[in-house]
Amino acid sequence: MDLSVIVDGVKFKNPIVTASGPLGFGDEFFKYVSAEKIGGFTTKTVTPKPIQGNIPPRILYLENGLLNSIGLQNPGVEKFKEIAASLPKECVKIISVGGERPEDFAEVTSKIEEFADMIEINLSCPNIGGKTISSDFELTKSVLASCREVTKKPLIAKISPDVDPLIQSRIAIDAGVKIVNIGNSIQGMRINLKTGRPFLKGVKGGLSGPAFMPVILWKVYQVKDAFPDLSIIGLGGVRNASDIIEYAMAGSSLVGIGTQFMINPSSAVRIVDDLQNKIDSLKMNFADLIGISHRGGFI
Amino acid sequence: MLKRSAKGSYILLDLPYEGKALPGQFFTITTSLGPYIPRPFSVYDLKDGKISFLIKSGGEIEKFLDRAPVIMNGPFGNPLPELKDPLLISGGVGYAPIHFYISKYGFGELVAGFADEELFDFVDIPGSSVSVFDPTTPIEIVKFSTLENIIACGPIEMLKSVKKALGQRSLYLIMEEKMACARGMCEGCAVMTSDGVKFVCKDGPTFKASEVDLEWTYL
Repeated sequence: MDLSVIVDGVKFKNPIVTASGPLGFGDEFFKYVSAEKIGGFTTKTVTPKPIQGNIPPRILYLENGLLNSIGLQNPGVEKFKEIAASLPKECVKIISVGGERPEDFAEVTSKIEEFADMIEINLSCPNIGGKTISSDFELTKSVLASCREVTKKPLIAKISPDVDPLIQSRIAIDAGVKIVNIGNSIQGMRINLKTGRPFLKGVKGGLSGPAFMPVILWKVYQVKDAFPDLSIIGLGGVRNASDIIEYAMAGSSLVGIGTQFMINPSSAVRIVDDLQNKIDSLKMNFADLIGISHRGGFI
Repeated sequence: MLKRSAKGSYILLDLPYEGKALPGQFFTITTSLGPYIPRPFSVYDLKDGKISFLIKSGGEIEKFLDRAPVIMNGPFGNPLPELKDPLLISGGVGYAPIHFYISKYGFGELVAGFADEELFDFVDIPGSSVSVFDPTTPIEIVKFSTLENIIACGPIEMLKSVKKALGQRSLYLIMEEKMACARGMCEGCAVMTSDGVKFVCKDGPTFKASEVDLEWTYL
């Protein structure tokens, strides 16, 4: 059976895309996995100027997940352009863009679009500054509009699980964006019992991992229900092929994997092979599974 | 195989391993039941088809080690430099990479600090070394050493003291930081150096003391 998916005119050989962030710009990841194996690779977020990132600790171990506070460390768009040309061509190249103001996003988008098959607009980094862009609807509109203005490439709005996904999706659709990534890691914190202070200097971090999957699955389901024509990347807590199928059933056309690939990049091979076996057993193409739970399931 | 210290505060985990590893390198360890994020551990020993790790009890991994198959990945990180007659300094389970270094390259002088006698009784310590116990710290002994080449591994406060006292010499510090990928991808295990942000897993875990900013952390 066929694993391929077409999203906003771009063909993915399978629905697996990497999440922006935990795999950097791919140089280490692709030592373990051939780009021919995955559907798409999403780069770490690129901003106009270099960002040093947050003071350690940047990682907190949790049962069934982790809290990160990396802080969008990246070399800035000019340096990135030297790396961008070497991104693998054997999978869909998604470049994640970030910034603070609409003009930041527009600047990075216009500078990297020639290297990208798709551009993901990071509206929702959980651990820089005070608020996410997603929490400011007017700013979100301006950011999306500014990116739409400077490129014809497909855009992805990466939204925040901390903000109503339906409002964020509506804003994306109105801005001419046809794909939403649901979503970034959700904000959370832990307190050090020995010091009585938060573990992280920025107090909050982004929670990812399997504990988080039902939260995102529900958001994917709601958005697909409200906006059936919107394409969704479901991202949060995926460990295996069964999780991917569950996300597809909820309405995801593509499924992002971050933490799982970070702790075991080689598992990509097993997950793709397992997914193929599972849809062969179901005797269904992957595309037919998308949103099936909204259509009464297997009947 | 799992061996526990007298009061159970420390564990030596022995695993079959026919591959290579050098002192200073580390592996990530988890089990089929968890923890979800594999934990990094320096190699304590490697010989006769067996690799050993020294683990402080109380971490999440401990509850799984007796119950499920261990999953090990590595080696990661860069090996320690092979130095002439080095002064080796350790604090607590920071003794692990020092022990492996000694077994491979020997040493000039060794000063090992322990919170109590339980860990001292549990690990192999060369006879010609100095061991100190709380409240005495290694720094009170090593300040009398005249050796030029130094390697230190232990809690961050100990590393700060060593750098303050001996930072003018050829001092290498084995750094520890929470990490997730162990491969230089996720940028979780950041340290600040004179050349900007580097990562313990990929650029370390050993750094020249003169190049690393030990104050760039939030504790």
